[in-house]
Amino acid sequence: MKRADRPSYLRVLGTVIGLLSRRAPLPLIAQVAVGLVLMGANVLVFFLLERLMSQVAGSGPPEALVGPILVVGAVIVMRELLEVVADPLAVYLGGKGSSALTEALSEKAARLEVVEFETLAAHERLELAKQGVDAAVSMLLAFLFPVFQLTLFVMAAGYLFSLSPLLALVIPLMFAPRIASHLIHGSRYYRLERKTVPLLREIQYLELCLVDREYFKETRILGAGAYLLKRYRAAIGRFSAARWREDARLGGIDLGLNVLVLIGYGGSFLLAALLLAGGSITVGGFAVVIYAVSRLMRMTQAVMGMLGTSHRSSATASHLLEFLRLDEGRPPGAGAVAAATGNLTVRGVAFTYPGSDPDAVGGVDLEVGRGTTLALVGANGAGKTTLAKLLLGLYVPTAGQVTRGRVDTRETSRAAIRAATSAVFQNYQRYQMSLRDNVILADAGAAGDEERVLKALRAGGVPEDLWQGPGGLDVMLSREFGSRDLSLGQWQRLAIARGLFRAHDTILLDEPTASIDPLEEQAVYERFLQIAAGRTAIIVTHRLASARLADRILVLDGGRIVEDGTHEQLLARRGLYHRMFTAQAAWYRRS
Amino acid sequence: MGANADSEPRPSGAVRSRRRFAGRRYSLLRGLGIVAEDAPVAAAIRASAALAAGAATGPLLVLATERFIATALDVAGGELPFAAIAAPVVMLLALFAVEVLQTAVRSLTDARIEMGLRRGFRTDLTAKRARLEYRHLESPETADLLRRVAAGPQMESQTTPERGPVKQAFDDVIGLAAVAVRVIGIAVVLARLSWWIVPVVLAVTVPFVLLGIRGGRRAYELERRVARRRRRAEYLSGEVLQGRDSAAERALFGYSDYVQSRWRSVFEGVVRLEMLWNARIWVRFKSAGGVAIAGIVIAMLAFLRPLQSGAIDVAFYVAAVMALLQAERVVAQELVQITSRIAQHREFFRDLTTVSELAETRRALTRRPPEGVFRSIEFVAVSFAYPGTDAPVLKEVSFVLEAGRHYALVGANGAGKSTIAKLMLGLYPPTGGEILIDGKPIAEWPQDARNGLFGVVFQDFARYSLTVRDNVALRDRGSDDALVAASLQEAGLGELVAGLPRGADTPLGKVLAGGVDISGGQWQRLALARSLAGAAPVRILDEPTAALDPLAESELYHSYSQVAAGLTTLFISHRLGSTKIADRILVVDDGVIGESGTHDELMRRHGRYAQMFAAQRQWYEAG
Repeated sequence: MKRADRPSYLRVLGTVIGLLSRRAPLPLIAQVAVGLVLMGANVLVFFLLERLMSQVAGSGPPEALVGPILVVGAVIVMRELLEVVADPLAVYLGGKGSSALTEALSEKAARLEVVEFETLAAHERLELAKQGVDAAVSMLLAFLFPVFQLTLFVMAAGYLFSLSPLLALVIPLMFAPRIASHLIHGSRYYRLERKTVPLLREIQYLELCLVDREYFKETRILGAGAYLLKRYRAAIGRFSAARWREDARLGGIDLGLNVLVLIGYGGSFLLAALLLAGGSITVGGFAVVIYAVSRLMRMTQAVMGMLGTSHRSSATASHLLEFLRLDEGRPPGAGAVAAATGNLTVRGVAFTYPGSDPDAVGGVDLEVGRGTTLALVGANGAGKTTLAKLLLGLYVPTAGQVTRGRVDTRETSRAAIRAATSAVFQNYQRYQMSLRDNVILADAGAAGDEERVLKALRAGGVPEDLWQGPGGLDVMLSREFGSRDLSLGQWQRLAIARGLFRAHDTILLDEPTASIDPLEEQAVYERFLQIAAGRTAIIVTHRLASARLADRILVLDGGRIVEDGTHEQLLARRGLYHRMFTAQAAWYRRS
Repeated sequence: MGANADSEPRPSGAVRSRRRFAGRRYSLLRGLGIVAEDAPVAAAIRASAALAAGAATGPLLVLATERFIATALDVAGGELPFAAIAAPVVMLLALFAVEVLQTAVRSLTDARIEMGLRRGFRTDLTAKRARLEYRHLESPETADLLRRVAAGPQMESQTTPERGPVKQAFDDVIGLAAVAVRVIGIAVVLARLSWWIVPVVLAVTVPFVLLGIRGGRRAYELERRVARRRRRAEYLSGEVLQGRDSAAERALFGYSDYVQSRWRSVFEGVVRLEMLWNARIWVRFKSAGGVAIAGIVIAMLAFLRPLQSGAIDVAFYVAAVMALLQAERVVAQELVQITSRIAQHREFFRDLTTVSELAETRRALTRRPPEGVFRSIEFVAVSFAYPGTDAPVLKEVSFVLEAGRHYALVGANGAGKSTIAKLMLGLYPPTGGEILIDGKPIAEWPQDARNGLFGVVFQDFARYSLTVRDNVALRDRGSDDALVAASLQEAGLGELVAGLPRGADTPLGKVLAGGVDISGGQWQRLALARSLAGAAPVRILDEPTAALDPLAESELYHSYSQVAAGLTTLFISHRLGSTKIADRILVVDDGVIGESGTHDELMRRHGRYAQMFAAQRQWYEAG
């Protein structure tokens, strides 16, 4: 997608309003209704004040003023009361709006193909879309405010016009500099952004290196703090200098434009005085002119400020809309569940990650019988994980086809892929949720089945004392949200428990024991083999000893299968597998 | 614009910040001092402009308007020539000019103050955080506190410290002063009519101030609570429901609906709380506003009589009413908001004081090559429990690491291996017993000297999104180019670096422009290269091969045993093959050193180690 055809402000605004009127209609309607009533109240106050001032300056007895004064007071108080409702309602609309848009984003994220999340570009797209949620909401709120001021604005302008068409000329004189300022700010702002965003990112990152938990102990032991701090200061200096140059220039321009506003002001006063001298307006009318003009000035300032905010937010908001329009790939529906289990057939499969040139996997032909334990081994980056995800149907091949049962994974629905499939991924998640949730997330439908949860926990080798403390299975596993954090090894066992909790016919274990100690590792594999009996299992591993347990081993190199056979067959071939195995085994041979 | 005073580079920021956050207590007033120190000229200009605008929109406006109207009336009545109007118009314009120009001055001084705070306050705060004792980093309460101090109670990630509460507190105090000038000024001008107007104005405004202060303190508390829930919701949506890392599990397990309903209940709670809170605040603002309007109405009625009797003229009446009506919104809204925020700021400065009082590690930011020859590290009956927990992780652990020998530390998950490494590095003080380095208690070694002793590969090693060179030697580029190249070579990264567009100066990761993504295994080797580059006598490697493939792992053991010759090494690993390069093996079991000795000795003991080793070896036997 080309950057140039960024959607226009009005289109983004329209889409956001459309989205919200479907997903959060009530708060939106309420906000508009209250806005309209407030607008009416503002107009009324303006009108009454004008009348009152004319009366004051008129020659009637003061007693006649008591009534109008009380009416004005009452109306203003009523307007204040209305505002009590308006502002919390805006907060509510903001909250509801961001809730609705977040849900839309979450739902989209659940429907997208996994591969849409794999690349760096995808990562950036996602981050921008997330920022788009708040931007879309503030865009809408900042748009609504000025709209409701509009009538008052027209009213005040009309009043001035009715006094003298010349007076109404004041308005463009007040408006033009603000619009000019806004436009200049806008273009400068984007240019400044482009120039300073990399610097800002660097500053934030260096700060993380100095203070964030992820880096802290290493930065300290390296004694790198002083150096990083020096770079941090230098980056801040550069950023500040660039920023100030721009701010000073803009400030200067604003100063000049404000002088124009001031001239408009002075002109309007002189005009009003002329009119007064000529007798075409009363002293009261004169006071109202002053009131109206200064009111208009403050309003233009606020309105233009809000419209500017709204406009700036639209660029970010459009990223969210773009994300919501992404192609979703395979359909979500149910489809042939039973057919998705059974033999795996791979024909001429190749796979390329979006936006990258070389095939991650290529020229793969394979037939895996149901119930086989299949091990994938090879060097870092040989394509093991990619092939495994293709076999499960999580990825769709770029060329060739993968069939599970007799169904092409390209044509299977996501629900069917999911059915009877489980996995322990290499980058297993450490959910900052309860122990129970960490297990049942694999099959939320079975959330109530405590026995099954316990069984999975034991099968994964999760130490019992984790759920024997207070809180039981509901103990929170999170440092930030209370309670305890686990060690890496414990988290990995929990990931295994999660994988096993899900009823499956086919399971992937990607480096399931990287952080697990030797005795437990053996126990994990033994338990696992028991459970896997009769099911298809795909094990990705660097520990070749565990590959021995497999019925069949595939050795990958550069995305291709270079060896295929049982442990004994592969050792006898004296190829890559043999080399790797003996290299590892040598460390266990002691004289 | 005070460019010179503010843009002076800070020659000795370290010295200054040590003074600034080293245990110093902060109040609202001292907080203002931070702004005055970091941007003195801009702060002074800003304050005087605001006060001038307060006067210009308040008392002076009443006087000028009165004069203007009176003159205009006289002109209309033919008593004065039209030219007489010029003087009052110029006066009024001058007052508007002050108000209008204030906005321009404000944006300029804002930029200047932010710049000063960025260079001063923010940098000093970062420096303070970088010097904290490590235990503070592991405490969730302190993490919360630090986030609050950096970004305010809402802890919004977009808020940077230079726009945070310090700046806001300054703005609000100035704003309060301006409102005071405006309101009291109007009262004083009106007092010309009747003296009682001054106490009446005070009586009306004081309750607002008190209301604001009362609300503010609770607001800070509430914002803290809401912020925590909001972060929870953000975790569930941002990481679990939308995150990139969880994409595969999300797709396969299909848990989105389940988590979404969880998220919804948390988030709806946040929205409801915020709305209710907001409603309460607005009820306050507006009831205050109602009182003010009643006051104005009374004043308008009260002045009718003197107006009738001619004690005041129409011009004054109109001018006073206009000024009062305009001041009403200021009093009812700004005053309550400002005072409420000032109360919040006071809570913030209490937080800042707490941060300022957090203990720092001495000489934490540098690394000094060892002076003498390293001899030994000794643990004498060392016990340890993590702060805030009772369960001891280590129970009276004793052992000695002697110079020039290679040690392996093995044991089950959670047995305390990594904790031993953290204590040795001085990241935590032991809760019992003593750790001696070269016979001297570890506490007597300043951090920089300790740093010089150790080269470490952590289990959760850092991935610095900086250049390759920075990842290896994170210090000023000096004569260590050769060392960097050698370390990269030894860690098996020579080829990779040679293939990068800018060699060792290529940025990695996605922070710097032109950054290159490398694999997990390559990051791990880079961490290894980093531990090699330090010329440290003691090397600690915590699970350095977890992500490496078999050939790479084996290669690493080989090259490492060569590089480490003559050094002291401590190897923590689940892969017991690695114990082959160790002279001595320490087996940690449930917080104590269960066994120790050479491989052969331990095998003969048929204990824990023998059991573990056999378990792993059997898989490689009889290939």
